[in-house]
Amino acid sequence: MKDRIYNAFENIKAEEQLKEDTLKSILEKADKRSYTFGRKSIFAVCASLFLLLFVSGFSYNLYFTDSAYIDIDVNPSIELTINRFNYVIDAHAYNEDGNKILKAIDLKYKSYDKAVAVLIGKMEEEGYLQDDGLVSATLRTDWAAEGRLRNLEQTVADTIQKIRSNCRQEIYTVDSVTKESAHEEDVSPAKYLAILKLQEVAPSTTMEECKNHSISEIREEIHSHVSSGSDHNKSHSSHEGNNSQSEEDNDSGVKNESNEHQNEEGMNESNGHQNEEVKNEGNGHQNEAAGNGEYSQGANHSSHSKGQREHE
Amino acid sequence: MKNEQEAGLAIEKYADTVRRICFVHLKDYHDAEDVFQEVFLKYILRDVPFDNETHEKAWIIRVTVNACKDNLKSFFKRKITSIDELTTEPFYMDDYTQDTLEAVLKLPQKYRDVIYLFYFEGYTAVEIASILNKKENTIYTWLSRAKEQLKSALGGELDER
Repeated sequence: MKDRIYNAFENIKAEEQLKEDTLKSILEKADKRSYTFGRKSIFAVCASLFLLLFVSGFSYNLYFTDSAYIDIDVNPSIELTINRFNYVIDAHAYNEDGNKILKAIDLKYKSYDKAVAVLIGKMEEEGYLQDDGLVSATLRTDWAAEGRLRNLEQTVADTIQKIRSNCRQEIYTVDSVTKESAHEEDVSPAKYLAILKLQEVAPSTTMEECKNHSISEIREEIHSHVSSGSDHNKSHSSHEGNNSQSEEDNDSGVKNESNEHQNEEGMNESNGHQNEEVKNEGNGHQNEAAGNGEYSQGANHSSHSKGQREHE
Repeated sequence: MKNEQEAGLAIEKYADTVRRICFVHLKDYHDAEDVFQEVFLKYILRDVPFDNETHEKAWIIRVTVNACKDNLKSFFKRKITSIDELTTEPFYMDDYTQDTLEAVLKLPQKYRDVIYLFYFEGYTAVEIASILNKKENTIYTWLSRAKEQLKSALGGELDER
């Protein structure tokens, strides 16, 4: 029986036509399937990849583009780079003390107000802030200058005030030229300005020598030069677009001291010359002299900052 | 997905097997065509490789049997075929062979696969059980009943092996 059935079945063979047709049609169908599937999915994958790249690239770019800088000098000299969302994207130390501070704390990706608070707090902890010490801050923004500068100023001033109310503070804004030059010398802009002044009265001084001295020390140095030597600063030579005039004047006479930040708006009439006659005695009333205070220290600073903002 | 060459090879290799299974289930050339397309399309779209040739062949048989059953189901839903058409065969064969095949085709449907696989493909009952996903004992039962029926239909002069 086995053979009989076997032989019978052997008679049944797939027709050549059937094989051909089958091959043709399955290839067609498979092709169609994979083609439609392939094309659609490739398109979808490409589109989503592109979108992802675009969005992430764009936001990455936006996030890591610096749009403002806060430089704080006590003696540790530190610069915070801030993006347009007011987050710190970089912290850079200009000197040894600054390095020490930055090693101890992580400021990156904090919002700038928190970062400033942490930074000042750390400086206080390490004993850099002293009664009657000087905290200088320089600000620069690339973007939405007016309102933003005021916010930055306010934040920095408030923070310093909160942590150490008996410190003197100076807050400047600087233009990009000054900032660039300071960067090239690897010092903070505030210190850069101070050093420039020192070089004016003592031309032999080099940037290198001054880098690790605090601004107060540089000021003292200037002071000693000025009081001992001839009065160089009459010349009022302007550095980097008259950035340094006001400080120069301050140092020639009485120290310009104020517990409040001096960059109040609205005093754009004063110029460098007036300051020469002014002797600012101490730190009392002059800061808020918005309307009438051409001779006040406040006016002095404000003209300074105003000029720079226009510069930008 | 396999390429054209692989598809051609597979068809060349398994077409007869598939055609015979089609033959024992389906009577219509066009139905066989449908089953062919389905089986080999599944084959070339299959991404998981086969363990070996035995596995491949068993897979083909299982898919074909299932495709035939599906085809029958929808076939009866679609149209009613008269009993006469069942005997129209495209194959040329002598009377002896025709008698034999007719005897096989007269078996209940489930026995036909078993007979084909056992006598022609030479599978053991155990292998058939695994290919058709049935219990071994079921296959033994089917096989012995099918043999009995064939014997009586064909005159019983055939020896058991």
